[in-house]
Amino acid sequence: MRDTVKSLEKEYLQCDVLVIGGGMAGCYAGICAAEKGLKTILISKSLVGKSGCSRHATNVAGGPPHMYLSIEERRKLASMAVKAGTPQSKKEMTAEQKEYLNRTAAYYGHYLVDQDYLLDGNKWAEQNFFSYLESRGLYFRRISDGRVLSNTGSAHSKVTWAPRQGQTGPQLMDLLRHEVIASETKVIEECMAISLLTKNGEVHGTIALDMRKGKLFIITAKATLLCAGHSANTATRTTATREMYGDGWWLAYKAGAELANLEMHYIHCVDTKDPITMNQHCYPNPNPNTDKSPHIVDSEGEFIFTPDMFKQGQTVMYHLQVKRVIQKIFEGKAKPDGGYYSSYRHMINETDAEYLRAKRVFDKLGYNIAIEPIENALCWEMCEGGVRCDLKTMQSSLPGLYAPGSTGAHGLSAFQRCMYDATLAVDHAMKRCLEMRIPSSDSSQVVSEEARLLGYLKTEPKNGYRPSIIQTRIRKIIYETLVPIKREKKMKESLEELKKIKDELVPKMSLESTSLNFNTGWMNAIDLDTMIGVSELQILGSLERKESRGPFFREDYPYVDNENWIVSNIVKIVDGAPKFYQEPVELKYVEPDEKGKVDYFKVAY
Amino acid sequence: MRIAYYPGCEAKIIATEANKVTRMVLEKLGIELVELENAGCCGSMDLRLDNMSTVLTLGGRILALAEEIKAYKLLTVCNTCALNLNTAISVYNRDDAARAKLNEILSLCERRYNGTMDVITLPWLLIRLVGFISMRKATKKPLDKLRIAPFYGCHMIRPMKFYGFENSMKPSSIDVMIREFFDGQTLNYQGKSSCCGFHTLLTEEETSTGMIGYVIRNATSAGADCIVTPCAQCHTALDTYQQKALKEKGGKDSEIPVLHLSQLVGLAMGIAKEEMGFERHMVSPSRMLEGKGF
Amino acid sequence: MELGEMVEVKLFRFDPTIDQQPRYETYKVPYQSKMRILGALRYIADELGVEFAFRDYCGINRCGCCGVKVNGVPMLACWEPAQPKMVIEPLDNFKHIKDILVDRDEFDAMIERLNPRLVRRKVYPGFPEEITHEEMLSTFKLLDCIECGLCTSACPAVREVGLEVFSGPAAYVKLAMRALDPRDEGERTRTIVDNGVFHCVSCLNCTEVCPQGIDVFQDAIEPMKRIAVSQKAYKGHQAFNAVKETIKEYGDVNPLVLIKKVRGIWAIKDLGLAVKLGLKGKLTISQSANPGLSEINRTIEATEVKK
Repeated sequence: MRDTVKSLEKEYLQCDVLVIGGGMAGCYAGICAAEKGLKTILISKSLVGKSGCSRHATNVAGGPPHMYLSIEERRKLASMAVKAGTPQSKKEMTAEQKEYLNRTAAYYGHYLVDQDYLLDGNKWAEQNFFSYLESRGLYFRRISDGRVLSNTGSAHSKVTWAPRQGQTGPQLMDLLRHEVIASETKVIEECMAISLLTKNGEVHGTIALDMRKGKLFIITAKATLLCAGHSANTATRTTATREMYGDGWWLAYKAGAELANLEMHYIHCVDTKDPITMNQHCYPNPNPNTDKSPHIVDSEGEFIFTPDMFKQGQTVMYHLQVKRVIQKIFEGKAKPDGGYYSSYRHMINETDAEYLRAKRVFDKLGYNIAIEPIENALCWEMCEGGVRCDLKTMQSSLPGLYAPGSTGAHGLSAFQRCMYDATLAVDHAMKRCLEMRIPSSDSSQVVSEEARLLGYLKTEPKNGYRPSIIQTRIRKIIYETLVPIKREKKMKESLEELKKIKDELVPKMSLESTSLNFNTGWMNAIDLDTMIGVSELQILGSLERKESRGPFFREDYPYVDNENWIVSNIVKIVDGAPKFYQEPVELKYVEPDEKGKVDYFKVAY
Repeated sequence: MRIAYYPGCEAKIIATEANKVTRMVLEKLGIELVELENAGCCGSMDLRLDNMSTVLTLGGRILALAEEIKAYKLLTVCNTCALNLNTAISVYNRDDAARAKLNEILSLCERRYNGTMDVITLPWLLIRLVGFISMRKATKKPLDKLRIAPFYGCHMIRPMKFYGFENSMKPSSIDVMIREFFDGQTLNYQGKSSCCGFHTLLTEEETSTGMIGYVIRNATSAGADCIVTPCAQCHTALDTYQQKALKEKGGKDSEIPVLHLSQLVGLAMGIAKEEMGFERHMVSPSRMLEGKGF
Repeated sequence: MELGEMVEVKLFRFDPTIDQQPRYETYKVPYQSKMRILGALRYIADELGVEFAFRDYCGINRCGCCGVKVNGVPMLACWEPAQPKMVIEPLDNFKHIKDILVDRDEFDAMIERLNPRLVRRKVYPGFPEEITHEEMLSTFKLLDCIECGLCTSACPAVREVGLEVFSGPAAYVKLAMRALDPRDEGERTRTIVDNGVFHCVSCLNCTEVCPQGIDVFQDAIEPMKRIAVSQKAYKGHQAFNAVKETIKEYGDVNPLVLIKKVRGIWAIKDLGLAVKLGLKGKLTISQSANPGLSEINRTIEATEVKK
């Protein structure tokens, strides 16, 4: 048997900008920072561009309306009017902006999202997102007259993809991966951030573990960008990739930053139940060669949801689906993990793998969709909450720490906004870099973190708990507690259970080996700490919010409370424990018609 | 049953023993074999890099010749011929427009392809067209004393979209045939479905001899008495270049005879080994076979 | 397989930093509906607590990182169904790190080396640029590539000569994606030749193992070879032209005539082999023309006009 490891090798690095995470926001931040001449390091827990929700991206929505015209038609138009900037007042808003806000701020964001941010982000995206990617070679699929291929929705609910519905992420992320690797940014893969370096309430970089060598990087940076995604793999069924435990949130929280709305966690309703490892979404968006959509039915064959139930202009019906499935669960005609189905029987001729990636998955799994409907289950998806930031700079409540992309609390993330956020963060980071010197590192933080990590690296006790088995237990707890119906009693019980895990099981953990070579057990133990912490915060946040809204449903508060709860539900560590408080959200341009309390099932948001 | 026979350049010119023995064996089995004498080369892999449409058109012409003599199927004894002809089939048999274009060219020679021809290789002819009962009846000298390492050759099993009759990475038809028809022993070894490297012999010889050495060494260390292959090109690579390949990596690796599938079948059917053309092999199987009672 | 049955997994375990030699650990996993190989691996990790090293991100054939060799064949664990008995080992042609985790660095470096970025020399006209789907069709067939590396793992040429000499099929798929893109204005011919694609022996393993169903050989490798051959950029290009010349002269291809055409005076190197072949009666230096020669020539001419 090996000797106990007594200390870890350390490497010290300095830079202007440190990017933590290699998804959409992280890669683009790495590219932009390098372009600005900032000395940049990007560390990624997984392989850059290969994981995260970015990889799963299926479509891109929005875009300049003229992209859906043929080459002929585009040439005929004299010039493309640049979209108006952020309006000064409600009266100045254009009809298009109002429609956009109704879709995003109201429907997607349930009025909790900053409306100026959405308009600015949308404008930036229309001007930059598509052209950046296409100029670098991404092929937004065309048809023979040069029109950009999309689904059959109206102009503003159109989505497009590269190359097919359900498959945009891989090409797009591989492109960004190659761009960031070719840039001046130094990329270190399979390197997980462990603890942010802080001093006087500011963030100065991070301590990170090189997973392949078991050594520590201590990276001091003038600006640290947390682009680590969110936490969906804390639940049994998830659309997240496997390494996503909300690392970014936990790092920020431990460092003392404000987080908000962690309970506002999206739920995907119509993903395949079997096998549990492969969640294929049964897209409700009509495909290019049809306006039909799959029918979603309960265990008795009654419709849960049909396409005519969504208003013109909405691209995705996630919240409506959640609401309907919850109702069916109450009626005993569906369960969170099954008992309801998506059916393609009426549209078998229009379900073509050429356009719809899901068909290829169904074929591979042996679903005969001409005959049988596909059993669905609820999956945890992205979260609207996260690290609270100034939405003009992406800086968090801690100077030096930024959270662009879905790590932030700015609402449900989208590709376009990840890139927009990254540019804001890099711009502000640049200003900060020019104004300050490289901070000195605080060795006491390194010492205590090293001790914590070494504390996990042991094979004693011989019959100790394996961290992965505890992780499995937590995933089950979160799925049962939060997906989709929250109940006060169950939430409190689960908090007790998490406490018990922390107090009784974790101290008795042991690993298969103390190898420093990609030690899976060791990384599981570190991730477990994140999982417990994030799970507690999400349950506490859920207990705090005494209403229902969007994907968030509380059985004990089954109404939307527009009088008291159009707020950011903020949490911050105070004296070692989470402290919650709320701040109202400004309804600058659009607001809900319902001013007081309203039945959760009667509104679309 | 009339089968159009397309031996291919390798079997016609170099590995003529395969050509001769295939005829002997199929004649004995009562199959009418009619050679397409004016077929010409299929283009191998090389012509594909010059002009793929030439390869397809030449293939279409060969298929038309087979149709003309009212053959049931077209037999090849070279896997690359099978690949090129199957590629032509995938273009012309179902696509009426493509076939019409082909026929425009073929009409210059007063020929026409109607899209009905299929290509078959020797193992599948024996398994599917001749069948178990007839093959058992025809077996006069069981192969139970032989430990045989089948080497399939890539272009008979891949791509799946042309063939699909066996697992393209873990094929089994020749193994099953040898065991069920002839009671022979077949071995599993690394390289059974790998490549003989024939197609880079002229241009990157070391890569080829490396591949040949890999197959030979693995078959030998698995305990095989011989290798058997249905493809004339694979045979040339594994037999003609065997000594060169073994010399390259040094060491004292022993040689192993490589038989054409038709020769193995012929032996099982009782044809004397003196008629097999073994004297044309670089690594002679004669001594090994004598030791096994042939 | 049915619910209630057990899947048997023999899992390759080896940590070169602490183990003397590899070993196989056997686990029995209860079959779950539509179980993939990944389902079995996750059960072993999450329910049995076995801490093997492995990359597992998306679970749905999008990230391309879960490649393993199962019963001798490379596949994505997330995509392929669990088999009743599975020997699960690390991918070939990749440097081994631990257990079933392999090092992708060299593989990734090969992709970078072939420059998979679009090269534009003209100013980008703005979104959306004027292209049609027909123009992009050759590239489009390759856009499903997720860089999983199964093709490179299955490639016997990479096995023989190593990634340094032949970058492998995957790198060529990414190159072809750009080289066949009508918008691309990069110099690609030298890249094609210098990265060893002519070591490809056309075994079609790459096409067979691709989990995205890309015909790697026909839609990426051959088009790249064609570019180099048409520009006479590869030292061996005479071999390909020689085949056509021989067919035009004789109808069939006499391999020895071919060697003479290709190697010229250097055929002397093979004199020893030639003598042996001659003694065996395999050496036919003269060749008579195939009776169908004139038809064959007419056919070839017609296709060249159409080319």
